[in-house]
Amino acid sequence: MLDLINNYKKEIDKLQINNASELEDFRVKFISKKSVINDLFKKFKTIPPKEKGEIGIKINVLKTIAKNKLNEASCQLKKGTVLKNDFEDFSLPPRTEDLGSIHPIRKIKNKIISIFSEIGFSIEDGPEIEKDWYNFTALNFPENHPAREMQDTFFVERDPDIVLRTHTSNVQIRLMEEKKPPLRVIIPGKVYRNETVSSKSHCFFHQVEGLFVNEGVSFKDLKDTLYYFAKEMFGKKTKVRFRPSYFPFTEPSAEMDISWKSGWLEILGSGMVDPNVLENCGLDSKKYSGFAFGMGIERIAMLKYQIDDLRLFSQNDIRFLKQFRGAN
Amino acid sequence: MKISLNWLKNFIKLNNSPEEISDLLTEVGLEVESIEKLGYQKSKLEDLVVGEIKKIENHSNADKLKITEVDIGRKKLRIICGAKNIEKNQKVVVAKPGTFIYSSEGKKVKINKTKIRGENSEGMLCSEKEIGIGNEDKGIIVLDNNQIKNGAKAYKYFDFIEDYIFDISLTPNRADAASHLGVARDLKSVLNISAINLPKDDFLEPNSNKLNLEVKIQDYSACPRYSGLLISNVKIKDSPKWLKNNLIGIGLKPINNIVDITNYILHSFGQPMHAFDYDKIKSKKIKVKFLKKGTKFSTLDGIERTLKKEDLMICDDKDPLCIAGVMGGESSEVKNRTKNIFLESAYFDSKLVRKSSQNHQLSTDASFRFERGTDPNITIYALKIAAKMIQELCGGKIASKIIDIYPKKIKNTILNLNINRVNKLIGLPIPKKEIINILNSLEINSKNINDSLIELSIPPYRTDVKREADVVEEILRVYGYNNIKLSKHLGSNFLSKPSKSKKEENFIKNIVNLLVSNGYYEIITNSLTSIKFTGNKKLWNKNDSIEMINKLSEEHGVLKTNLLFTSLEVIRYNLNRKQKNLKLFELDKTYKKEKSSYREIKKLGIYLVGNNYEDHFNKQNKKSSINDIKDIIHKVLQKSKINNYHQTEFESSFFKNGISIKKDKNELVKIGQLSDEIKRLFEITESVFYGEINWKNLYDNSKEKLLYKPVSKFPEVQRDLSLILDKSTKFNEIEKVVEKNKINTIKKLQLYDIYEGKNIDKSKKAYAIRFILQDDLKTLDETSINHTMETLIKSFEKELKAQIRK
Repeated sequence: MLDLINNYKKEIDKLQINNASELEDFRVKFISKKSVINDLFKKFKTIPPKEKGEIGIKINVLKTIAKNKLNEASCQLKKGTVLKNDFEDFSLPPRTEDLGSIHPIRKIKNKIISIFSEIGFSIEDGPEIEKDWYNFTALNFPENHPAREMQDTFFVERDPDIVLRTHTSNVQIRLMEEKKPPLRVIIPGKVYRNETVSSKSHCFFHQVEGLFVNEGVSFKDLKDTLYYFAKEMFGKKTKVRFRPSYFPFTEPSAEMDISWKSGWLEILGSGMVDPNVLENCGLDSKKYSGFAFGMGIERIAMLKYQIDDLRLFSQNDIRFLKQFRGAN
Repeated sequence: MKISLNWLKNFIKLNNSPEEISDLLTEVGLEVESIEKLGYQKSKLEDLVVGEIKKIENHSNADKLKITEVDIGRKKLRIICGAKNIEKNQKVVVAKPGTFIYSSEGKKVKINKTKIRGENSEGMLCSEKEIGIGNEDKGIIVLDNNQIKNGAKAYKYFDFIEDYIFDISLTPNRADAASHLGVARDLKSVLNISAINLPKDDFLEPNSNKLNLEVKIQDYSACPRYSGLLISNVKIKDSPKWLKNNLIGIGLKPINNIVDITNYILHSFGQPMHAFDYDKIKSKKIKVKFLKKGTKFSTLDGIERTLKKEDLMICDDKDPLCIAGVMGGESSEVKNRTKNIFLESAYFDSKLVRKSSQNHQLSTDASFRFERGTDPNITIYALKIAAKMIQELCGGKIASKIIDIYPKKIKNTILNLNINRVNKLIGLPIPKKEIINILNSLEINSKNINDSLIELSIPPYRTDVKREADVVEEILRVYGYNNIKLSKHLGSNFLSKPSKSKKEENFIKNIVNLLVSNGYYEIITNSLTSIKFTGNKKLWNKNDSIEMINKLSEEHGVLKTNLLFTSLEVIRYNLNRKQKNLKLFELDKTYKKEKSSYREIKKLGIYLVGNNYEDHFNKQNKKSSINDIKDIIHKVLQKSKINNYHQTEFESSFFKNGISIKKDKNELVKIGQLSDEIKRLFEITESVFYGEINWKNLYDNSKEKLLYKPVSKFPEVQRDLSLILDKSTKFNEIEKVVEKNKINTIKKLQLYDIYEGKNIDKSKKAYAIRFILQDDLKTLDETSINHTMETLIKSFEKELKAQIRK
């Protein structure tokens, strides 16, 4: 009887069921009431009780194998018919034009804001049409000084001068005049320079200013903060360099470069708030010290996205904008 | 500012590579923007050989050409040459057939055997320009050493020096570094070199004056020091090659020996000098004074200038000779026939020179230095060195004693420095000894007062070092910004609380993300726009607008008073590039003048052009309409938690039809289809739908608290009604009718279809409306639902003359 069981098992394994009639043949032979397996169960009653244990298990296993084979084959056959009669194309393209984008300038601005927010800077804002005092004089740009020529200014009124701010630094003065330290803020905004529009210069662009004033703020704090920013913005592997520079409203002043291709590229200006600026805002420069920094958003966007023409930002070609759908 | 490495080496011993020096300069605050190599590249001259002209014959077919036979060692070449300066037995530079030459203009040329006017030529005799080692092109190079072997490599014998030129972007504070000496001083400091090599001013001052000149200063605060010297019998000619090369290297044009020497002194020591033709000073009296406003004066560049009263002038008694510190005049210019000169070496007030330079829009190497501040105590030294050079190179004789009017010596700045405070500001303890060493290396001497206090003596040429903070920068510059180690962990003793602006910034992020998720693209346009719109009275109130006084172009001349115009330019730009379906938004300020103040008003503009979706099998597209812009505006309002608002219609030249959305009395949004008049201005023919949100009102109204209301436990029921109405009936009239009935089980009206056409009178339309009903307290039964609907139907019939479509 064991031989018989083994033979049936081999037969089931080998058998190929290709269509419905073969499936029916299989069912009749192995599963139906008249099936060979049922015959085995009938014979089972006649065998000696000693052997019943082992043979019983084997017949049951055989029955399971046969049932599985039947199920599997019937599924396969059904699938075949479905595919032939009711085909669905899963390769159809989804709608791709339904997502807009944030302008790259805002993307970079948001990134800068979030980096500084995480280290305890708040956000402030200020006017773009500004009095000479806030844009120049209080920032230690002496009347008739070469430093004023570093920036070409748009004038709205003259004597007394009202200008379009040439930097976001005007808000430094407004804040220090209004609020007492400690102050720890960034100031994003638009600025203007009276320059011809070209791929490298524009009369209108965006800056983010930073200011931290408190008792005991040091140059080392400035360096710590800005190096942290550079690594967050450009990646941990970016090399950063600090070098002396000049701005009327900071002393000492520093510019920060990051490694770029084979050389260095300037990304921001900074320094310790000049004692004259503190005093101009009514703060005791013996008691308070602070650092300030400023950077151009367009410049950083050009670096990050490898954009080579400043004019693209205000041209707003939709084919340009579409490329900024991604999150970063 | 250009600085030559060889020139620097006159002052200081340098063994570092040009790249290392460039890095050092940048790190000490003299940013090197580029390094240019002067001189030849050996590889480009490798193939040129020395030849000796053995024979010269006339060319039978050309008068100006000669046929030469040139010995290049192993063989003789027959070369045709047109240069006038060839002679027999000259040693010359030969390019053999098959070699390449690289000209000064950067051209690469292959030399071949050729025929010139019927005669064979086997190579070329070269000029400086042809092989890129100079600009001389009038004749071929003649090597003046007769011992050179024919056939030797020619470049070994060129009289040409290799040099590197650093282009330094000099910050306005560093007047002290505006010369080779100044740059050398900084290098001395960072390289810890003990001293600068200054040329000796061993100058023999004559006992008596051979020529006479009287000098008078009107105002010592304008001209604190005036030094000078008379030199007779100078011979004006070209400068020697070394001097020319020095000047050409830093981008100057050699003029004549006298002018070149004054330029050399300026770039060596930072002391501008001026040479006058002594014989042209008629009165023999120099007066430094201000002239009457409106006086005419012709400067060296041939331009007649009208003087202002604050222009400090050097005068021949009454007549102007020179704008002090800026530029001399034509009348006393040193020319070829000049014999006797007056050499001026002065110190002028920096502000005055700057004013004159600005007044006449005239920036010169001299004014560049004077307006930043020169060294008042170097005038005599510079004068002596110049005089020595003139004696040597121009054959002049010193004809007077040194003139020096300096009534009040400008002394060093004395400053007490608190070491503790310095270290606190730096954030790093630099030992006192090191601080003193650094300052000494910068010629700033110190005296100990006590442990934490030192007294500094700062030379006047450091115009930028007057206060403690300035000294800190000096210490740091030399110590090295990059030598300050970063803290292991970023820390601060103060973290700011979120401000108003920060909260608003978060709100902006929400709205921007909403618009982007709905397929809108953010645009950013220039705040400065074209003044051509201000001329159109209907569209622009000129009194409102803020125009630039000194605009560079009409195109960017006025601040925008609305968002629309610059955005329409963007729309046109894209339409012209076949980008037809546009969904755009811009959040930006607009600007207005109000009496004596200026207002900056933030607005959010939303624009729709073309279809509302791209063609796609999975979503029906159609032309965008006013309803699409209303949809997106409604989403913005929902996001801002503004759920109750009302709308009215208005007329304006901007819109075909305008809708205004208000909450209470505050206008939140204007919506409309742009008028043809506006579109015509921008050559746009497509329909443009526009929504303009008053940002402040939106933001102020967005602060309502979000509170949960329990959801009704009882089921919703819906009933549909199709109302046939006059075409002029508005949906909000239906809403009003419903409201009037005050049936609180009606939760929502949903207009799900609008029909006009077949089966309906031409003057009618059908609105299919779904009513959502729900009772908060019980399940609605059929009777009460029917009752509600019947009440509504009766009202519609009565008040709107509606028919119910079955």
